[in-house]
Amino acid sequence: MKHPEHSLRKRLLTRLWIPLISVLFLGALLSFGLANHFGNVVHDRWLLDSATTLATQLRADTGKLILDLPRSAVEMFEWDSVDRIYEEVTSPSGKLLFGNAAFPKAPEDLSPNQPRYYDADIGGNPVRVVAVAVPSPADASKTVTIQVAETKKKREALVREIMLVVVPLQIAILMLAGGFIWFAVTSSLSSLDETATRLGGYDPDGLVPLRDVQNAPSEIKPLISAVNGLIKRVSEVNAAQQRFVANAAHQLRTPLAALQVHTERALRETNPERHAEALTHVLTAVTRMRHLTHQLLTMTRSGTSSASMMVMTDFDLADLARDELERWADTAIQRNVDLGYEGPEEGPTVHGEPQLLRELIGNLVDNAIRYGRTGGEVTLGVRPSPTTIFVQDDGPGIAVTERERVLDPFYRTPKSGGDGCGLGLAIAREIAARHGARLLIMDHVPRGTRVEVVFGSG
Amino acid sequence: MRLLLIEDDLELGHGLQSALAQSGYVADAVHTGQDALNAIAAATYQGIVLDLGLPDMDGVQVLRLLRSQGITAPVLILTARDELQHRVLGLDAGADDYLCKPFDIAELEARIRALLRRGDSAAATLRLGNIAFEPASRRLTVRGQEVELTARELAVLELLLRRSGRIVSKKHIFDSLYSWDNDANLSNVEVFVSRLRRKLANTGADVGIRVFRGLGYRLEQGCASDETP
Repeated sequence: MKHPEHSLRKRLLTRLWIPLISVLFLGALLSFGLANHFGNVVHDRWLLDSATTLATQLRADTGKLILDLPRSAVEMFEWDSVDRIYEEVTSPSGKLLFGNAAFPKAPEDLSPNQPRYYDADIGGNPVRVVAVAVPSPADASKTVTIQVAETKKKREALVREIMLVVVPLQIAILMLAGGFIWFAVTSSLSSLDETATRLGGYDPDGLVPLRDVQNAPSEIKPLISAVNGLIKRVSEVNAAQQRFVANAAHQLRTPLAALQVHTERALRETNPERHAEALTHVLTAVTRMRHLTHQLLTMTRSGTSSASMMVMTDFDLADLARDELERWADTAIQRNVDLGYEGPEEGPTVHGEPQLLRELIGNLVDNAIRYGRTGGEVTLGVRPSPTTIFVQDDGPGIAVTERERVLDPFYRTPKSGGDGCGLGLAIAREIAARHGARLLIMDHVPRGTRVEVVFGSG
Repeated sequence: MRLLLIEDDLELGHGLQSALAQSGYVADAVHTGQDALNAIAAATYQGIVLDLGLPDMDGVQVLRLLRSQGITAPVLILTARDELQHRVLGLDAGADDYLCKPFDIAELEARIRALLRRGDSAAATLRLGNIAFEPASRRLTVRGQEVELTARELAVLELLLRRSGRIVSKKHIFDSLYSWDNDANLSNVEVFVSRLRRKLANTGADVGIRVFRGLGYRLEQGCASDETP
């Protein structure tokens, strides 16, 4: 599934602009509605005033209701420069007392002195009508109905005027607010752009941390700090690897030199006995290089970066230990070492990478045979709960002060004198760590070294 | 015994050819996959030593082609890569054994011997040093002289001979000697083994049983059997 590319800027702008436009539009509608309403109210009052004025002209004349309306009064009453006014007065019995237009029938349920406004149509013109019932001067229990209507031209003009003011005003506010939002979003995000540009142009060879962390916005600071942390770690790993490679190359030089010396000697030698002796040294040098190469490869493979390549399975630790121990039988015989296994036939099950654990066991056994006592005893053991592998010898042991340092790659104790390359324990510790196990160096009583690998304690 | 050696490194190929010749094998050396396929089409080989990194094609590909052509000669793969997945890949493609560079000549030869022997039937005479055991007639001879052993001693010896050079655990011997319902225990194995060692030593065999503490026993040449365990 492909995610559509999203931009913070676009998202911020759309999320601010759409509500802004909606709010302003609603505001415009509301203010227009209000203005219109009040305009209507004012006009309606004028209409009612006209109706009330008409009512004052009603008179009772000997019990007969009459409307006293001179011609001039009617003219003045009807005069309006814009709109046309219509009026109608109906007696309680429904007889038309006065009227200058065909009005719709007044509402039936008019209460006295409660005006009623409604829209209607007179002679094809839309009009606003007020209908009011007033007590008849002739008989106070009856009401006279007065209706006054006015065409809507003034009202329509008012709407147009309001529109002419409100619409441009709203557009101006919209433009102004939109512009402010655009400016705020764009200028705030520019520091993000700047960081992106800096990261984009980062030179991976230099591994120099990004600068100006203090000036960055607090939202971006953690990002820059994380990137700087990563850069720091990468550069540390890099440095360690370079040290390791340099060390490894130096380590290879010594057996290579021996190889060259003895090969040249063998080529020059005419005495068959000494020739064979030189070749034996060649073989020794080659064996050392072979060992070293193997150790370097194992070290690389057990390193942190290759974790994803590990194939973890469940297996019986005792089986694996015995099988690996058997590989060292001949080496032990050569050094006249009594090699043995101590532990259950079926051991604890371990989840791990068998090839690496073999290397771990092999390195510990190799060390014990190599640096233990000639004619001594080397024992590999397995113990359950907590799952432990141990290898012990009865050699000179490792001084307490040396126990940390012997775990460093290429470090060899001054007295060791063996032909190892100083990687064995470093590899063992690395592999133990990969399996969540801890490697402990201790004394073997009464003498010698005991190395324990305790699982589930890392 | 004619072997085909497929190794692209000229130095290593030449060295191996000479070393194998010293041990009495005739080995034809080729350096490319195509040459190897041609050589196999032209002659019959009892065994093939194959390097995986060839200049023209992958060794595993050569192996698959061979197997698809019905060539059943045992194949030993030589390679500088020792990761598990490479090993599995090679064995899956039809290889019989696998050896990582660098290696001891002696080990290569031992593996080749084992591969060549694999074709033999289970009834073939088992030999080590100056002793020989015929599984069919269950006869043991030391320096040509027949030696009397009990059935269980012979069974132990056969087990050790069949896995000569490897350590055989006490448990393994016990399981092959006794059925489940038997109430014998592991110390019975020790009794048989020490009797067997004594008898071998008395008859002048140059083969002995070495004891590995907690691991088991290994039959080996030139190991004095009169050591106490």
